[in-house]
Amino acid sequence: MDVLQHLMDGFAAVLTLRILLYALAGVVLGTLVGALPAFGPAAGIALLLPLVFIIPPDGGLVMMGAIYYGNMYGNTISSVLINMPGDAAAVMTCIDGNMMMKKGRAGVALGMAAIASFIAGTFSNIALTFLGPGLAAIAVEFGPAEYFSVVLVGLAAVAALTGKSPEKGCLMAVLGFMLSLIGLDSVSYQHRLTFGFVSLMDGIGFNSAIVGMFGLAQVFINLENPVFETISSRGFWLRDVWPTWKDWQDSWKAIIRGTVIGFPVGVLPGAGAAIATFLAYAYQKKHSHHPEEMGKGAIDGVAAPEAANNAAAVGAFVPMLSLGVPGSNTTAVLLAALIMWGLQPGPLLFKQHPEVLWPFVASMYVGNILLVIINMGVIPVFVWMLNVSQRYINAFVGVFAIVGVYCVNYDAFDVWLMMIFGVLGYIFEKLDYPVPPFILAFVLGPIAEESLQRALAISGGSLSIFVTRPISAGLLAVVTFMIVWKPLTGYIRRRSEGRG
Amino acid sequence: MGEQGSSLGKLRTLRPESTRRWHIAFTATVAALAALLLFTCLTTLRYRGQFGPGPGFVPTWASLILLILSIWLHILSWRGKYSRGAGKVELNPVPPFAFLAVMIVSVLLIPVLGLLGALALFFMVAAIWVERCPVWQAVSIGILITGSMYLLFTLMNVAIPSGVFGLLLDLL
Repeated sequence: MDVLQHLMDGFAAVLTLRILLYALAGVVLGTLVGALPAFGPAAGIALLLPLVFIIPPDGGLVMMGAIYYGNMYGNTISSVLINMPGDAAAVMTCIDGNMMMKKGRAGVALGMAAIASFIAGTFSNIALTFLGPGLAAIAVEFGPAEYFSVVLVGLAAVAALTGKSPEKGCLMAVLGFMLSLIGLDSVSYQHRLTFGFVSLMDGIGFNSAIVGMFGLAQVFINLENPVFETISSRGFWLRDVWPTWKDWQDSWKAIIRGTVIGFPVGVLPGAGAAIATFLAYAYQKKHSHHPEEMGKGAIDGVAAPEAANNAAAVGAFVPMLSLGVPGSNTTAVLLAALIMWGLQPGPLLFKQHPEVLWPFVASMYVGNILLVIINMGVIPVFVWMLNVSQRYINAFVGVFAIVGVYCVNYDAFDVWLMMIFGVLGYIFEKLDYPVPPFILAFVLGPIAEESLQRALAISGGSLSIFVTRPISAGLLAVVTFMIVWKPLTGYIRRRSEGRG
Repeated sequence: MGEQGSSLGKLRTLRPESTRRWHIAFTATVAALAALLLFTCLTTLRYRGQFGPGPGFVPTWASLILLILSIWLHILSWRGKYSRGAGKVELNPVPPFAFLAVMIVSVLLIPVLGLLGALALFFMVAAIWVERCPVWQAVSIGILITGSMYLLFTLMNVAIPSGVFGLLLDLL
């Protein structure tokens, strides 16, 4: 009952003109940025991160969330229409979505994607509403040792699951963690690793790192080989996008499967929406009435990954809101926004700031409705904007990045840092070093260090505190398993192949 | 396939094997950085504090782990683990670095031209020179964006560096 009461309070706060406008702005901005090829949700939110300094947390968090799921749908537009996914999670939609486009059924593909996203998003929101506070209530009992171990689980999961080489992920995580240590030590107030730069005394700002690493690096990559697509906006009005009775018959099971697979996968730190969409597509292909049509423009090949994508996106909020441990790079950016608003992420967030958290949860229900209305009704507008803006988007993102980063402290040093991070992000991309572990460790670094210092202060400096407390020991076992599992299985496979 | 946008430089597809020396250089740089950080931690930060770990405790261990990892990856790079059998690498660094150069010059010009003047310059030069957009379109969109930002900052009552334009406005 307590949860329902909080949710009702959340709805009361959201259904005001001010917050609804933030949600609407977020959905439209997110869809537009997502529709631009190669701009994923992390880049979209990263570029809009500086807005946290001018928007209060209740409206700002609603807007950031709306940008996130708006962006997910925007990615579908570019995947279906021009076969260019904005991020890995939209890759599976390209397969059948773009084939439907070639068969002249792009409108229906986009319509079904919007409906599948709406259904999956709504059911996942219900799960989040009850699971989030429940998990937070358990996590309130965690001490610093458990908390440090939880952070390690998040980092290890992302490092091990992102990219082909876990060792590269680990290097990136440690590098991000190391950079987060620059600046003032929270216990002794001693300056660390500043190398005489006064501007580094407060540490490296989230803004500079995140906007540079995601936004600017993406611009650099786009500039290497610009390709512009001009799409006719005909054939995308409401009558063209509404699915037929046969489409519904083919898709309803796929939507349920996508939702059921997507949400739990999204909750797991590091697994992310990309794995969820892949699993949902593979499962749907196995259980489809017409598996031979999958990959050739089957509508359930769009419905399953789209449902999984949105369900996983909502699922990723569970560890972020209840434990303060983001499960993906996008939720890491959102976590950075919470910290910049002065809110302490973690289990106490539900207790200490219900006025911010519950309107956000409620806004996800409302945002989903806004999203389906907008995306069923005004797809031609997005197509037109996509056609017009793609030639200038890189220069525009550059302007936005400079303004956003510079105007936080009115210090050009932050812009220099952003450029350095942009170049680093470009190099990481070229050398295939995964960025998510870096950003996650950078955001979680101060929390991890504080927990570690507190735990060691309690134990008198003995590391045994991490293995004598059962939850912490269990979590550390999970960390060890995640790091060792992939190299170990690879070693065993190589040995067995050698013998064979 | 869409229309190919014109751009500075030319996109080259590199053989995965040719990226080996980049991996070696990158991991060597990270190892050198880690060694520097470890040395700094050991010489300038206290490892133990009054009631537990000192400000140098975590950075020392983190830089040590970073050093070990980077040396390990350096060895793997020498052996060609990351270059052998990797996917193709496409590279055209000219437009990104031209874009970066325009950005650097624009930020340096903020005290002279003011924030909005520098941004207008950045947008126009980046769009015309780097992205090869038509001049009249880039200039008009640049003016539109800068004008919108001026209105936004004025409405929000936010003071921004105005450079020589601010001085001129004051004189007028």
